[in-house]
Amino acid sequence: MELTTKQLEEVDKYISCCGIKYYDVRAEIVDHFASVLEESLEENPTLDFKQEIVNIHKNFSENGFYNLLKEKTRAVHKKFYVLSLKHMLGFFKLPKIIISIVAFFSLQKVMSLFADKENFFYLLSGLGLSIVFAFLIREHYNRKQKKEDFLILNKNDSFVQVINFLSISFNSSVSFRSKAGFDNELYNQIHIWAFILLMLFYWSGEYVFRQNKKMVLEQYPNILV
Amino acid sequence: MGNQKLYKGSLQTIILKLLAQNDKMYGYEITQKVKELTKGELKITEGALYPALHKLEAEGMLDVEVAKVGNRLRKYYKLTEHGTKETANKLAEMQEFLKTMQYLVNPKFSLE
Repeated sequence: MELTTKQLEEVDKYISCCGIKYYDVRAEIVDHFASVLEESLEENPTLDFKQEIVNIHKNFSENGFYNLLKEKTRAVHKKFYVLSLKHMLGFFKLPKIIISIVAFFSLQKVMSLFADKENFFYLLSGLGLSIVFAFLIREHYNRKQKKEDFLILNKNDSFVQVINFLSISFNSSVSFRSKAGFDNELYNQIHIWAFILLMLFYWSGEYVFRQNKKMVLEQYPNILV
Repeated sequence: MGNQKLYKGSLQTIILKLLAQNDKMYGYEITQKVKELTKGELKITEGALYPALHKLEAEGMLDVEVAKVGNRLRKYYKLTEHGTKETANKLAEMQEFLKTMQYLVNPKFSLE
């Protein structure tokens, strides 16, 4: 006995009210509840539908959906960071090494145009922070358009926090350097490499996010993400 | 029904073994299959099953396929190449564990 759309919506609403707001997690639980309900209704068509939903929830686990959401969030974040790191390391293959080296020498060339090297690094910090800012604006815009929240895409918030933290750390590293330190060529080169690595991490995270989004669109074609 | 705690550490192996025997399965199907195979002796709680499935997915052992079934979506799990290799390892570990337990709980029997 297949559940009607109205009954499914009721299950979906109940699960959503229990704190599972992400569509990719909810869809699986709705299907589980629906499968149990269908079997129960088959055996007893006069079953109290609402009460049965509560019963399935009670039998789910001692902590309700808490462990499920916790494990899923951990798994999704872990996967994202592992993939980001893997992708970033993937940069260190010939074409990406060339890009990184070209970026390094270009930045060095630009740095040489500055009489006061400190200003150059403040410019880099500004560039890093403006990327974070642009990222936040885009997120805000995307959030308005979204029909459903996906956990796999929501990790972007924590990714922004990491990028934000790294950008602030880069900014602080500029502030903490002494005037004399900016005359040291080796220190400047290390600092430029730190900036390039920061950009590579951002780039790799963006790439993984887009891949995840593509996968979500393939799996849930009718949902606006 | 036996002590469910005894089965707790074997959940991942059970899932992997079932998926190795079936091309793809969804959560509820796994719980029912386990119940059927153990004649109701072992009941996997959903609260333990789904986190385990998500963990295996994150570790790259399972792949996911979402299909529309009737008027709802269903998430199917299937083994990846890495998952297939890991299943063999986990089953070997399990055999070894059972053998060791046999030595401990029934020494006479295990010597025969």
